[in-house]
Amino acid sequence: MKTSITAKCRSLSPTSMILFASLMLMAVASTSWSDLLGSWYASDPRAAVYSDARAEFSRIFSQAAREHVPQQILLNKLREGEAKGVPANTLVNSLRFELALLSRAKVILGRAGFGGTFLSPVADETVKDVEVYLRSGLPDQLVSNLLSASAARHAGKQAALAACGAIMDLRAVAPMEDADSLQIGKLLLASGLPPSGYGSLALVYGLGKSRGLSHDALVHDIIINTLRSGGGLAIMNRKIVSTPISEPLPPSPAAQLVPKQHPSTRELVSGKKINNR
Amino acid sequence: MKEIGAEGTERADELDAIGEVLRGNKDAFRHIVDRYKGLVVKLSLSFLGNREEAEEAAQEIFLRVYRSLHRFSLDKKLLPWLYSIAVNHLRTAYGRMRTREERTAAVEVELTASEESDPQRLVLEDYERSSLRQAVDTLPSTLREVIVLYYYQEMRIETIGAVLNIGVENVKSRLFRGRQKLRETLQKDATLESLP
Amino acid sequence: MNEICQRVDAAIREWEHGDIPGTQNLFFIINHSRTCARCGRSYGALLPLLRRDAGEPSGLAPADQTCSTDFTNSVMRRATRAKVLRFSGSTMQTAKWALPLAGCLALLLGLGGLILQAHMHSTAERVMVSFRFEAPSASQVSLAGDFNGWRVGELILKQGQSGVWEIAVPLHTGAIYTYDFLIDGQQWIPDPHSETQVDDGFGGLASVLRL
Repeated sequence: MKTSITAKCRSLSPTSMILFASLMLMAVASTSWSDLLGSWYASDPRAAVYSDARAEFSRIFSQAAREHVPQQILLNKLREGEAKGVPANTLVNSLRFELALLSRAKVILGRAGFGGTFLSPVADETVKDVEVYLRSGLPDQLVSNLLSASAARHAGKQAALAACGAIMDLRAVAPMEDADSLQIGKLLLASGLPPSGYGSLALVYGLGKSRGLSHDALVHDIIINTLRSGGGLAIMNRKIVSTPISEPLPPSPAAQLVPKQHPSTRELVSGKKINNR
Repeated sequence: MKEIGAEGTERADELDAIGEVLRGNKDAFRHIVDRYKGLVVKLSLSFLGNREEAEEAAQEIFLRVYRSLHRFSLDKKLLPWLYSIAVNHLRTAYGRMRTREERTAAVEVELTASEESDPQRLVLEDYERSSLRQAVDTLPSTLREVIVLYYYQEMRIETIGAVLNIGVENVKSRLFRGRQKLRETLQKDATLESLP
Repeated sequence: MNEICQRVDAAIREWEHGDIPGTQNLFFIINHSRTCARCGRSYGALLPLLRRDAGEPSGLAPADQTCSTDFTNSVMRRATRAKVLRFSGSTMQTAKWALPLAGCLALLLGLGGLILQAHMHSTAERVMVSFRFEAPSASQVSLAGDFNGWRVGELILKQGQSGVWEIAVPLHTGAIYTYDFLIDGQQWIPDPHSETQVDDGFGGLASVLRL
């Protein structure tokens, strides 16, 4: 007996119809993902340079599709390599590395409960955030721990990602131990500071260094202890500025300085005048 | 001790202001402008000779400083860094001043008052300063900058080195060659003047 | 030329070489130059330099400059034209009916990937971000990054009077971008203003921007 698909559909329950539509979506989505590479080859004249590597690229993109890794990010890395004139075999290796980073990012997010669901997948940007932090050298465990800590506090992933960003910037200027990085990240999450303010830690470190403070004093006494006691950036700033400079300044040049007319920013920070010391 | 203490406070305030600007409090940059505007205008005058040009150049210098503040290393002193941005900009500004006559005629700068009371000598001093300025303008830029910073700005050799990012010996060598060229130019002009 | 003039000539040569005359000799040279027409013509203009070298004021330095508060206000106005200007861009609403909608969307083959991409920007604000690069001697500076698919030649900076190249690009907040500048179509350089740069995977660096 012939039955059309339409007739079959008419007899399905709403739940089954939804399931069928979702499966259709999956099939369509898989197809469209792999078209990304094809459309790049078709539309970009410079892609011809990499025609010999197409099979390799295809394997990488297929693997990305199987692992549900955002292929758009992979395509951007491909385009970056092409724009920078990178040779084919280097580009293949870089794409493999990029895929590995994106896979790790997805696993880390998933473990912390931010992996999303099929119908509400994790945003590509979130995966990209984590990928950049991993690429900058942040250990997987550190990122994972901060995301878990954020989840435990019901703080959402943005705070954890901002903390990772702050640590990435701090590590760009200071030789941070992983344990200290993690402690600072967790204290930031617990501090009540707005995530937008996390990024100033690198500046605090730089300010302290300019006044001759040691790395240990800055990391432990200033940053960690202040965060631990509930203080924020203003208190870190005050602690640093009130520390005597460890080396005498060189004699000033012959030119005279114009007298200071603007109130001290310490006054601006605290909102009230501070007596001269 | 008092001076070092005062300098320490001023340095701390300066770093405060820089920190505030980098954290997004743009208004804190006012502190840096107020502190250094006199010096920057004075430097611009030494290079350009014209008050209007110098003030415009000084404003552009502060804009460059504002945009480059991210690149300032907090362990260095601000003034030499600021001066090096200024000198870079003044090189371009000087080159843009269209004709040689424009450059040399623009010596209408109010200089520190002369100790000379004899009116004839004052006129002569004015003339000599003008001749010197013209001679300085003929120097290649690498020598002119050092001559202007050392003699017109009265900067120390070490500071000039920090501003131009060259060694002290290099500064001294450029001063020597600058002096030599100035003397040759002025002597040649003097010989020409004395011809019937 | 008399003997005194010869001694002054010699002293000037020594001064050129960095052998600064003592105070006594300095005033001798100055006084002689004022009375001797020949030495006055040759060295009169150099006297301020000799003064400076002998530790006296040169008399060449401009007087200490006072600037009005207008100067500072003008600088602040120009400087604080926001680097990042916020404006309300259109936002795309999260599809709250994703489940039943999914079936319909499955039929729109070409938009499949794009619709899920829209979910990323569902609540993100767009802001104009200004990118600047100092390269007075470059003939072209362009910008490329993942925000424009690394398309070279699409975002060309304009050079201002001060030699700084600049462009403003609308970007979504809450995102992280990587980008670089391309100088004269040949050299890729990361942004010296960026807080962090990462290994781009090709032996170079990519600038990171977090909004």
